[in-house]
Amino acid sequence: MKIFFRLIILFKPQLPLMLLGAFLSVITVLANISLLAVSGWFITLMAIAGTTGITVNYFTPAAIIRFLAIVRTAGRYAERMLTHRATFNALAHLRHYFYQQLEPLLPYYQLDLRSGDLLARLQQDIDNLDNFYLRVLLPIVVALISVPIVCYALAIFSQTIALLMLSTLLIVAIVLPVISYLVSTELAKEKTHLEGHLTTELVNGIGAIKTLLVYQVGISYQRSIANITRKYYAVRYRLVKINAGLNAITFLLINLSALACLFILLPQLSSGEVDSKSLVAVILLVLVSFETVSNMPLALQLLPQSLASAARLFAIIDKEKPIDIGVEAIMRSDIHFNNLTFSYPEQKNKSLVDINLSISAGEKVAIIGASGAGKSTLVNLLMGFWPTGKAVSETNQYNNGLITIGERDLSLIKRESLREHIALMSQQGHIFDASIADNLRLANDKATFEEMREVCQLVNLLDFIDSLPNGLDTWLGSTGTGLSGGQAQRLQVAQLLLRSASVLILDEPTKGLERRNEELVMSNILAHVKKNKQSLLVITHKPLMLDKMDKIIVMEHGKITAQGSHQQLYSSNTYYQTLLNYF
Amino acid sequence: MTEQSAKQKKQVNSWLKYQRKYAHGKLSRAIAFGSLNGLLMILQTGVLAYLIDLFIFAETDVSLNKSEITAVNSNVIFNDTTLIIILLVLVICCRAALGYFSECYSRRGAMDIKANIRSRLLNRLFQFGPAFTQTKGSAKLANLLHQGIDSLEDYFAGYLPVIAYCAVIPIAILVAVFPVDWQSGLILLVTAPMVPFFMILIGHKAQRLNEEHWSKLQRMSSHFLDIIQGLTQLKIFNASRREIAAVKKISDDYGDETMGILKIAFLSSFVLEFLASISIALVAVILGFRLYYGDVDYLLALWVLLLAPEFYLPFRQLGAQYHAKMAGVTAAEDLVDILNSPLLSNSQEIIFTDPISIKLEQVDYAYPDRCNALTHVDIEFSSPGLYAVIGESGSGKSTLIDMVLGFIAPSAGKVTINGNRLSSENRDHWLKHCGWISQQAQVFYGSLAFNVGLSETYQNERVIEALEKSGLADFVKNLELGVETIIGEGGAGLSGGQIQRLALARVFYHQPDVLILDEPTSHLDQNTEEIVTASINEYAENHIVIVIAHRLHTVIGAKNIIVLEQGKVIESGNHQALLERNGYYAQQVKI
Repeated sequence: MKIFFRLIILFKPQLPLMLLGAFLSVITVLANISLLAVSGWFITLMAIAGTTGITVNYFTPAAIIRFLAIVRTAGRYAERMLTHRATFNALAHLRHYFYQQLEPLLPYYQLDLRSGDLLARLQQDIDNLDNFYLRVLLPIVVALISVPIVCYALAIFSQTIALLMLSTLLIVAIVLPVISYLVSTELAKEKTHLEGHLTTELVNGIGAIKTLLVYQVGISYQRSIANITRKYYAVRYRLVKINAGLNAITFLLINLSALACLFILLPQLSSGEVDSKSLVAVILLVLVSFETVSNMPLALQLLPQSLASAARLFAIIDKEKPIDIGVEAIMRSDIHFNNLTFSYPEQKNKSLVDINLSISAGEKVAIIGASGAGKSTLVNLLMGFWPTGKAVSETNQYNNGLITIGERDLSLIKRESLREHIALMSQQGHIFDASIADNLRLANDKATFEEMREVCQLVNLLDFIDSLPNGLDTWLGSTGTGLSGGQAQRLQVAQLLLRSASVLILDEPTKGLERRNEELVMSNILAHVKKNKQSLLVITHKPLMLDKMDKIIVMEHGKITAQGSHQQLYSSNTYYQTLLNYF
Repeated sequence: MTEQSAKQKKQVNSWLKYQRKYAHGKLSRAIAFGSLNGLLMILQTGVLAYLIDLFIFAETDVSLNKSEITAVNSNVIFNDTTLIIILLVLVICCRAALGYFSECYSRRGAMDIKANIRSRLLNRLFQFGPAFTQTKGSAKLANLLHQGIDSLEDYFAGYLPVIAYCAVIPIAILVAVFPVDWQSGLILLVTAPMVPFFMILIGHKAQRLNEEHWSKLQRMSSHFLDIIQGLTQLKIFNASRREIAAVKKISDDYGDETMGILKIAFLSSFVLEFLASISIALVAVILGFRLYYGDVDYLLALWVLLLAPEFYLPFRQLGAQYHAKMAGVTAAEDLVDILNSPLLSNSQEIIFTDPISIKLEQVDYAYPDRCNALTHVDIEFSSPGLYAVIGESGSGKSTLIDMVLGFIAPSAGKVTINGNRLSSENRDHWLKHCGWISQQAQVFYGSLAFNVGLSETYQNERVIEALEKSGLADFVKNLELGVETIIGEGGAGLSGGQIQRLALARVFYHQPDVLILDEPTSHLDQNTEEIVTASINEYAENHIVIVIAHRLHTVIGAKNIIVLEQGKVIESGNHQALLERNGYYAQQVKI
């Protein structure tokens, strides 16, 4: 309930439009059911007038019928336009809100949110809320307003009928959906499970098609998929049957209650309490009155889903934001790690132990080590993604030591200033579904086309871009042209080179690059930083160009095990020697 | 271009209709029940009208002559009405049952069709092999196999039946109405063709708009996911706040674009509703006046009034199913492409006997729209030993391996096994002699033993033997359920090194004559790496082992090193010979 109201509060700016939409919906529904009732009333009136020869005012009802027909049609159109407009406005607002709330949390909670699965679910959850107004809130509001009106109208003729209809409408709108929910909960769970199972099996199987074919198990794999499909559809069919059964019961309720009303009214008809015109009107009204609740089953079915989505989203954005006490600007660019020990929140293992390291302005440093050695953690801390120094020294006894930039505690530096100052090409880099130019502009929104072409030349991507019909405006990503792994990697290097930072960090810059490109890109990077007097920090496990570095740092299990020049390490460090034996 | 796409659309539509047969009559039954339901509706409204008429005008009769006939009359009414009421209740129950079965059958039929399409599609994919799935993208294909096929459900269970009802029910109503009241019938008849006319007119516009905006909408919606996935990246660029501010604008644009399309859809239903409402109102008013002048019987007038909304109901349902049709056709386009490509036969029976000799003679291969992946390749793998293939990414190593495994056929030249030409027809027989380990070996959902034997009827002792050889025996011993432990999705987790050893165990179990592997480049721990390398070297003593090598120490011991560059074999020989040659290889080694 709390979640429900919190969600409603989020919709506040759109509330007037939403309410207007709901109001129009009610009018349309009421006009629709009145149309048939009035028509029935009218032709009965005319029939009686015709047989008895009494003159009647037939202009008014005829006009009402035409009026209702127009209200119904125009109302439906206006209502749809309005409610959808409100939905899209709400969507824009909600997305913006959630993204804004999410921004400070990543990548601090990346360890929990790491899997793409979870991010996709986050997206799915936000999508689910898109429907909240149209499919959940609106039907409920329409039913809440129009059911009493219909019942009140019926009560004018007969209170028994009004009560009967109120209870039938309640059964159709609430009792049946709740029963269906309870009956199908287990099945729905099983369905979700089988659905997930089918997806993973298909993804695994198609991905491993070579193995399956080589070991001659293609047929048995196909058979197992057919098996899962059969089970999955069997469960879905049972859900269909429950749903179809409920539809049949609803149909019976509607028609039998109309019949029942006829019998309830008969004695009153003979006693003259109700005239025959009203009798026909009431029967027809009852037959169509179910339109007021026709969308309720779906709404109640979606309600728990929407609330669960909202709950998950709220749980994420309610997470404690990482401490940010940075306010100062950066003055100088030499970096020092002083006795830094660090462990990620809620993890016992120390990711970094007693790190002492300095990178002075303009220096070129390489960090090498196996995965898990703590190289990326070092970078994460340098980018200010996890609090260090003063921000945590009082709260976390395991994390101590200090990172300073220009002799100032990194945690006191304003995040924007820090990221202006230090530029990173991370291993988990993301190419956006946007044009090449847009992707480059993300790194530097003031970059001109000449500058973009220049950096693309430096990473040897320009020939490729010029070969594309749309050049820099070529759309990338899942909805556009795919880049090969190497091309994506080089584009990210290009992005980095566009940044006007004084420290450049490259995490595995030549991953997936061919040797020719590897050499070319690395030497261009070196020339670029030299020209711009930038410091360079390269994290790598490839032996490329290590001799061009001022300093090489070897890390193992969160510790620095050796540092020195290429020559020094080549003669003394065994790890370094093995590293050089890779292609 | 447009003619071609129109032709393609036609082909897709006829393909979709053709799939009905895989429902084995369930869809036809569903449609028959639904139509019968519609016919009973005509009866139901008729009986209801009769009943109301009886009550009202019996009352009037009674009130007119309050004399002696009352007793007799009420008796008649009583008998008559009881029968009629029973009939009415019966009809209502029948309709409820018909509705139930119609829905069940249509869904079941759609599921049968989908299951059938899935089996056929999967079968095709396994026929075409990895070369095909890689070009199409295996994630995309997996998605097509699941969600793609599932999105056909509403087409079969929703759209197809409604199309049938649109033909049956309005005609039945017209047949019923015309004899009793031709004026109302005329109103319905005149408006009826206007409904599809306007719907087609507007539908075309909507479709064009849809096509124009489709990619734009796709891009916008993918942008949202993009922002979440790339949020860290944006923070690194100091662009997160800026981009999030842009989300609002893009969302608004997204809304505007979608509203533009929806507006057309709403307009189409507006026209439909307008026609329906106006003609119902017209029927009601005209009937009223004709009743007034005693031109028509009340019973019939009431009946026609009750039928009028039902006349338009199938059309309204059709409007609601339009989306299902679009989605179905879109999904089907991809399916038709794959299912209609010609089948390869694999009937040729060839028994390959030991010793195996593989020969590639003047082999060329080109992927569609790309320059040659292999050019004039001549290689022979004819005696046991380790063969290493090296070269940069894109030099044709994987293509070469796919060709040796028979997954792709050379565009020129030939591949022979013991003198027999390798083709798709004898591929499966050839594969019986091959083993394969990929760079990142795969685990399948199932027991550990199943993963080794890759069959439910594995031999337990041989599984254990294979696990011992691959250095996994200790790990398995510590598991509570031993080789019966379920691994894979939702099962016990294996580390990267353990998975690689599992793949090795697969090889020891199957003892293939030819082992082909893509050496893992990801950092395995040293221990695993040594075990894997040693085992492979040992295996190579008695078998042909072809390895795509990424490491120097694998290559050094190889009997023959084949160096590929841009699809050509630029040099080959053992380590020593290549060093002496002082070419590409020697350059690589001396960094």
